[in-house]
Amino acid sequence: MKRILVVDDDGMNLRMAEFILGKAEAYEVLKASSGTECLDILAKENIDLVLLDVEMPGINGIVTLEHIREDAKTASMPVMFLSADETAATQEAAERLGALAFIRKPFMPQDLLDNVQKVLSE
Amino acid sequence: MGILINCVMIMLATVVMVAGIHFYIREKDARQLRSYMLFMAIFAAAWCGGYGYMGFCEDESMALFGRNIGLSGCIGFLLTEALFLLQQCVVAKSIRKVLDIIIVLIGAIDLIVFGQAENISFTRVDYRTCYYAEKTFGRSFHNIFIVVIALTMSLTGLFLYRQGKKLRDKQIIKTLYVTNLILLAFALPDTILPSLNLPSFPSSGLGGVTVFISIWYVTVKLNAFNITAQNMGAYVWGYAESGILVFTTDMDVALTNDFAKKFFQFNSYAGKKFIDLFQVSSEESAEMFQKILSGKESKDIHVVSRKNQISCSLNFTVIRDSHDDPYCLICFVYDLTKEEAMLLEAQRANQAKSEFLANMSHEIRTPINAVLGMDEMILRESKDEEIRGYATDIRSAGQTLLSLINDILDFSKIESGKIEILPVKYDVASLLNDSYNMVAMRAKEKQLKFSLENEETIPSVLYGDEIRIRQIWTNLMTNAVKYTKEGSVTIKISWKKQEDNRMLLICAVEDTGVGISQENQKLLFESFQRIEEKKNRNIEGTGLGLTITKQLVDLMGGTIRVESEYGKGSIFTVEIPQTIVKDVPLGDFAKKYIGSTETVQDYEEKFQAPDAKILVVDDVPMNLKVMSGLLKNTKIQIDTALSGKECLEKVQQNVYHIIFMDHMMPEMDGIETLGRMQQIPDCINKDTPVIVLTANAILGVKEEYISSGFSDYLSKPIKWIELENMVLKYLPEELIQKEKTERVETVKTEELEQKENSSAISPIEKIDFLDKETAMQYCCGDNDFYCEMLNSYIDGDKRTSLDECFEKQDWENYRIQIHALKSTSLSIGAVALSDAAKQLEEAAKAGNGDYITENHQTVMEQYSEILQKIKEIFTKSISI
Repeated sequence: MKRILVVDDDGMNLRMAEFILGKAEAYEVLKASSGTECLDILAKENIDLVLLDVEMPGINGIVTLEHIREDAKTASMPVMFLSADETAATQEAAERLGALAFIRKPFMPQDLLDNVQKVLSE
Repeated sequence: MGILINCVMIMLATVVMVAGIHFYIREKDARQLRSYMLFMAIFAAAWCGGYGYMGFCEDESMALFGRNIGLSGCIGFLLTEALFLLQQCVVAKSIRKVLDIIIVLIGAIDLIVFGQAENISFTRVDYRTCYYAEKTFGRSFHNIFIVVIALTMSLTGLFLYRQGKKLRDKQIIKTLYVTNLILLAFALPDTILPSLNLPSFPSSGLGGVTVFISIWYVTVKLNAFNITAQNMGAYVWGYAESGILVFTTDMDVALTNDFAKKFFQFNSYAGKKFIDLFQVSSEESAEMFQKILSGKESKDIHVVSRKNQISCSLNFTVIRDSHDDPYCLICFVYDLTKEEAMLLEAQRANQAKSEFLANMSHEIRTPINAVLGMDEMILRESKDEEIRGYATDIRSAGQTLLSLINDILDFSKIESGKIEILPVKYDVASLLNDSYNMVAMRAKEKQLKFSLENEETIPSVLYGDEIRIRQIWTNLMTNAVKYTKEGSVTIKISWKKQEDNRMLLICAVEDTGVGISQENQKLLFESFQRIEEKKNRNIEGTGLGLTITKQLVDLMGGTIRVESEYGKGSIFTVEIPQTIVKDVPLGDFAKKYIGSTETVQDYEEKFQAPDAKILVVDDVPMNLKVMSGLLKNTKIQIDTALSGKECLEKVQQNVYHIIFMDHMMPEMDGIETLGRMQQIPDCINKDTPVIVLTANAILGVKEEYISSGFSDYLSKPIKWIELENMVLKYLPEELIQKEKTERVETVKTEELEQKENSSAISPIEKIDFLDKETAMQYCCGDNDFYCEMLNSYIDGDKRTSLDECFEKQDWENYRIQIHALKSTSLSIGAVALSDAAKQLEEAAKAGNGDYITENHQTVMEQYSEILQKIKEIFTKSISI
């Protein structure tokens, strides 16, 4: 079972991601509601993929990803951004920090599943 | 004299040839034996004939020729005999082959050497040519050859004698020894005399013939060397344990075997005919023979013998001649006495078993009913939650036990042919309603999609055994639900018109369950068989369901079949012939049914009547639950009865203000129950209005019911409005409290959940202010998840934090919150709100405080409205 960590400040989004990924019956889903919580979990658990919301209070997604890349353990962790906004800034950050994809919010179930599957089956 | 001898020898040669050829042709099965015999015959004929011919020849070269033929016959015969005897010996093939080759070689050499003219000289004595032997190497060699052969055969003979275990084998060897000694004796004049310079006498040929004839005798008469059909035929005829008769085409007895002779107890069978032996009339026997001779019906003909009254089974075989005309009939007679006895025994055993089962079932049912009855009392009187919990468990276990017993009893009843199909006039809507209700609850428990579709043209009133059909349909539906973990169970009801007023009622139950593999589909209807026993261990039941179903279907002249793919699901289709009574189309049952429960959702109770007492009688427990549920908030005291019998008991114990009585019930239907009720002397419910529950109102049926004694009727499926009106109509005025009391927030009880879930109506349907299509895209089409999301949306109420950010003009955090609101609103289908949020988000990103100031309030109001409406949906559905 691949383990996916979903990070979003909105409980509803977390729940939706969990529900959709649950349908595939192949993933274990962990939830974090802030960047800080995300980093905590990454330090303690084995994670195969992180779905990271960009717009969050506290440390936003980009900063969180920077921290993820700094840590040797998670330097090459597969990460995908959850966002509707593909601004120039976020695009650049995504390239720089090696984010694998942008997934629109709210999630189209098939979209999410396809992206996740593509990454995790490689 | 000499001529006579020669003639005799040639005659004998001919005889031997004939015998050999005849043997060859006759003994088709004894391949090796007949080949040996043929060769020995040929050689013996040559031996005898050759010398015989020599006797006639005056010309020396011809005489030599004749003699050589005789010589080759002699050598050939001796070789063949030796080889034949060797072959009987059980020795290694290689050894035998070596021996065979040696003696053949010697024989060949002897023929060549001794066949030369120099070995003999001819004279003529008394009109017969004979010869003298010269003292040549050839003659000596020939003598050696003879000795070798003699030795071989003696040793072989000894070997066989030792090898032979039975007396007859030893007897055969002894015979052969004797005959070969005779051969030797016969050979002397032919061999010794010429050596003593005396004229030869061709007796050896006679010796050869003699040996051949004795071997021939031994093989044919004493059955020495092979078991063949010819040998054994006689034994079979004589010793068979059944009677064998041969009849002519005129039904005269031609032959009888020993068994038949004894069996039919006649002294003589001359002139007897078929009808003398068996109890049939001459017309019957003529007809029988006609049928047999024309090729039909010749096996297992049952007749009774005349003299000793024994039941027999006859098997005939017609023997035809080469023109294919019947020649005679062979008849095998089997005594059926034993079989009849066994049949009787089996029947008796089956009967005993059925009676035992019936008794035991009754014995077991009685205490179970007591357990369930007392348990019911506990449930009614105890207020202790824990105890009620125990009692509920007891009830479900007890009901399972009861249904197991019923299954077993049904099964044994059907097996002993005690089930009867009792057709009645019935409403198809009622059948559909009851079947659906029985299973819908369980389907909902397992969160399966459960739906019923019907062809709208189905005639609404039919003539058939509704109760059994309901049993069949319910069994299939219950199975579908049992064996489906997730997905759906769909029921399709259709029909096919047949001639006159007949039709086929077709019910197809389709599920997305475990499916059934091809091999297992064959086992499906066998008793007690559970497919994939291990995997399906958790599914309760006896395994009898489908068997009983099939038996019932068969009894009604219908068919049942299954289409299934393992892992994908199954479709069970039942077709039952029925008679049409009223051709009026049924219409869309599903719509009507769901339509009715929709109104359930809507109603507000207009009244209460806590002092009123009502009795509801229906054999389908689910229907009782529905009624109780519907009337719950009127606070009317509701009693229930599951059968006409129970109803009669209850009406003598309690006074009721109204009785609702289902029409279609097994054993005693509604009309009969009412009739009996009216016959009860001084019944306390004499004046109680009885309202019948039936399906589709048809013109004229109301009058029928009224004339049977009912006060009124209600159509099934029950519409709340009508039920309420009926109750208001027939309850005594003083009991009705028409005030609108507080809406009671009751906890979701079993009944209510069933009502809510059994229709496709859920709170979701009420939402018209959200774009459900959009929402479903994000919720994977899952209604339950959508509900969760809606609740989640309410919980994640951002108004406070948005207002705060707005007040502080913290556009950064405002943007984050509104960004989230944009996406969550879209995912529940609040598209307009989502767009509005998007505008605000853009503004916040651009730092456009003015835009935000202008629109924040409006958007918040929109947001509040949506939140409020969602809250209303959910609270409303809780309190009914």
